Amino acid sequence: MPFILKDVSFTYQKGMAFAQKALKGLDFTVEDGEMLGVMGAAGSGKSTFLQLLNALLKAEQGYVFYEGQDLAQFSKKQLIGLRQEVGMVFQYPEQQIFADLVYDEIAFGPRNIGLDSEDADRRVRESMQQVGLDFAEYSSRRTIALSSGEKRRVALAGILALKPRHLLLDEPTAGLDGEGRRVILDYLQHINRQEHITVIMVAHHLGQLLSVCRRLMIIEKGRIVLDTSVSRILDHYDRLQELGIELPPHLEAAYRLQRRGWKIDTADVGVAAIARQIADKIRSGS
Amino acid sequence: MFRNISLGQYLPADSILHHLDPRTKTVAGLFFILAVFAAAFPLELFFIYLAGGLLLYLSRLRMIDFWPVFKPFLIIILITVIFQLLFIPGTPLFSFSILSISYEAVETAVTFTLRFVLLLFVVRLLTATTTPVALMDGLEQMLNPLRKLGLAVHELIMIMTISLRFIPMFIEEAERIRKAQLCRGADFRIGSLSSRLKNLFAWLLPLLRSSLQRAEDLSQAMEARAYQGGEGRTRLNILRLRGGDYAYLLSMAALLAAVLLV
Amino acid sequence: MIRLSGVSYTYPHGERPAIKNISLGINGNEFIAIMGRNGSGKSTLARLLNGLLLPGQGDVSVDGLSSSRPENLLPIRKKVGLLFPDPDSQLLANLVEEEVAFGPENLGLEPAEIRNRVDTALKMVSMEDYIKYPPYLLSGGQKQRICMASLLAMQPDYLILDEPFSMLDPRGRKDLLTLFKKMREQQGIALVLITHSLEEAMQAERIIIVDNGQIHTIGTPADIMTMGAQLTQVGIEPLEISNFIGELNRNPGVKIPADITDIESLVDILCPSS
Repeated sequence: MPFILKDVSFTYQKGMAFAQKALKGLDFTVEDGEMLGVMGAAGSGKSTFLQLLNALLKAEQGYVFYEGQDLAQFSKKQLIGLRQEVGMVFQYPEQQIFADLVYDEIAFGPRNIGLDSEDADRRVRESMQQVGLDFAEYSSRRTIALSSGEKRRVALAGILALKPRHLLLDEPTAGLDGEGRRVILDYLQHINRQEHITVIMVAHHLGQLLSVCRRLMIIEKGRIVLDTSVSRILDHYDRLQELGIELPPHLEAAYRLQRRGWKIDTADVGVAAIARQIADKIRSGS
Repeated sequence: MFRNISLGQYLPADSILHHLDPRTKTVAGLFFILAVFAAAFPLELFFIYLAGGLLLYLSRLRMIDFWPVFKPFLIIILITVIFQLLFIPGTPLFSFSILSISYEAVETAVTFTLRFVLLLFVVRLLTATTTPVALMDGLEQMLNPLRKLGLAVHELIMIMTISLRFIPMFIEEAERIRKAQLCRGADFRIGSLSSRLKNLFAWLLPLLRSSLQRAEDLSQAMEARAYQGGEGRTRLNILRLRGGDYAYLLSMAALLAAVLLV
Repeated sequence: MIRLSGVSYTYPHGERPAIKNISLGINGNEFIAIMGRNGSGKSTLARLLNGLLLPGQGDVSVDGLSSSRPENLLPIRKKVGLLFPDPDSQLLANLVEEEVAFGPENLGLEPAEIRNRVDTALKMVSMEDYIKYPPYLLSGGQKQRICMASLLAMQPDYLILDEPFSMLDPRGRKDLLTLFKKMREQQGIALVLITHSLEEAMQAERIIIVDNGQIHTIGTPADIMTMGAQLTQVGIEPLEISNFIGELNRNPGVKIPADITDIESLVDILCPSS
């Protein structure tokens, strides 16, 4: 179990006139290789939550354990190691690109951790492949000439090049067009399913999270108000209604059809799986 | 690491001081500072402290509001005091082996501390009871006569106002980029000089780029809202001196005069 | 009416034109949406509409005022408000009331009139309780409302909304969209919404798809939503419900009409309640 949080609270701008409590009494565990989607309104503390997991912010109350060790006790050196194992992709990561060439941008991390040029080179190639950037085509391209979707993949590769075992992402699809969004989500899913990297991502859009994640957590006003396996999402239909969160149309339709007496298995929440079952019903029923 | 700078945050309240004209508060603040430096130890300083207490009461602020401003200066005060105690000669007050502290040293140290605290208090009182915009407006009004000398007062003040607005954001951005690069094993505070420089560059370049982008966006947003410089521009809040302003200004002037003349 | 005739624009140092030969009319009181992939030229188009950028070729005119004449720029900016994507880079004051007053101050209005407009505009966006609040401490949605009030205080006839939702969560989006529609109904302000989301664009009367600096398609929401695979080609994600219907129709023997937008009607077709 890489992450265990026990009764964690965090306040923003502590001691200032406008202090705000960002997180209150979080209690949960993340398993190895999970793909966890975290959703919540702006200002609900989602981004704070991610930064607690790799000790960029320190819990004010409670404990954050990584592999059984209390993060508060980590030495500076241990923290450097931790941040390699727990990669973090900030919101709009392309804004932090500084190198002129794609290759140098991605090699920055591996070089920082003291890899020789041969090893660093291997890391760059591997991570570019992980995000679907062809090495021959992209490695010597200039970073400013890339599209926003490509830039974001470069930034993601820059983190993957450190070979993290767990990946934290803050709104990885924000600001991208439909195509850019799809590509990022597909690669994240691939990284999780094929390379068994734990993925914890924060996003606004329920449909996007449901399409790739296996577990969903909703944070509201600093508290966890829902924590469920994605396959059981419809069990929480009323709760979602209360929270004012809309389900994607295929699940909403599945739920309403269930209410009309249809048997639809929603263990697989994919659009294709749901559509297939409905089609079977139509053919057998009429 | 960057968040601890808070000399200037406005603390809204409905007090007499909050409602005074910013020009009054600036000039009266200057009088007060002069009085602080002119006041002798101990009696005059005592009266200045009484006046300060009155101001605190009038501002409806709490002592605790001033603490964040004092805190970063404590070490400076402490070091200065230690130096003064050790090195100012005069009538020995007490001595311990080679260490000797004079009466004059104690007096200097105490006076220094009392003045320094009061100085911070006055500055904080001004920034806590006056919005930065009002302060700048007041400054613009007071500097207006200099326009005849060809000084671009409006533009200067506009730049300062916007800088004030963007400092917190800049700090936030700097911190975010630093954290992001930290996650890629880059820390410009450790390592060899060349790697530090490289990491500093990886921090500064995105910061510079985003700042330029913000500046560009902001200038477009201002232009889109029909901004064309100071010419033909009016203001929502026109500064007007009222009875309270004159009274406040007069009492501060009287305080200064008393200290100087007595 | 905002009229673009044969407008092209190339950025300084740009290799290709960002906008190529676009002709378009936007009526007063119309609600149109402009869509297209990242880098298609949508935002450039927005900045041409209020004279922030001037066309290299062709002409842009607002109610007969051509943006090519410098003396028209002020009246054009008074008529055409532009809301930017990121509220943080357009908020310039330290107090909400100063922020909203900035535009009217630039118009040289009397202080009493400015006060009046500030109060009215903040009421319109339901932010009147925050008049003495520092904008940077508000939430993203609230900030965007303040930006909106700043434009309303200038009493514009047209509002250009350049991806105004990109920093907001779904609830913030919904609230702001409702506000836009209210402004249109109550104040008769024309809306030009630039967005990536077809869900949001569906609220408009016309949707314009821009691709590669040119107009690709103009149509009603019903026309656009049934374009199917063509949408993906111009970087637009189809409606979630269209995706679902497409997936249903992929199964042999299923034929659901592609123009259904609400779930209840879809469910009724799938399982007619007896």
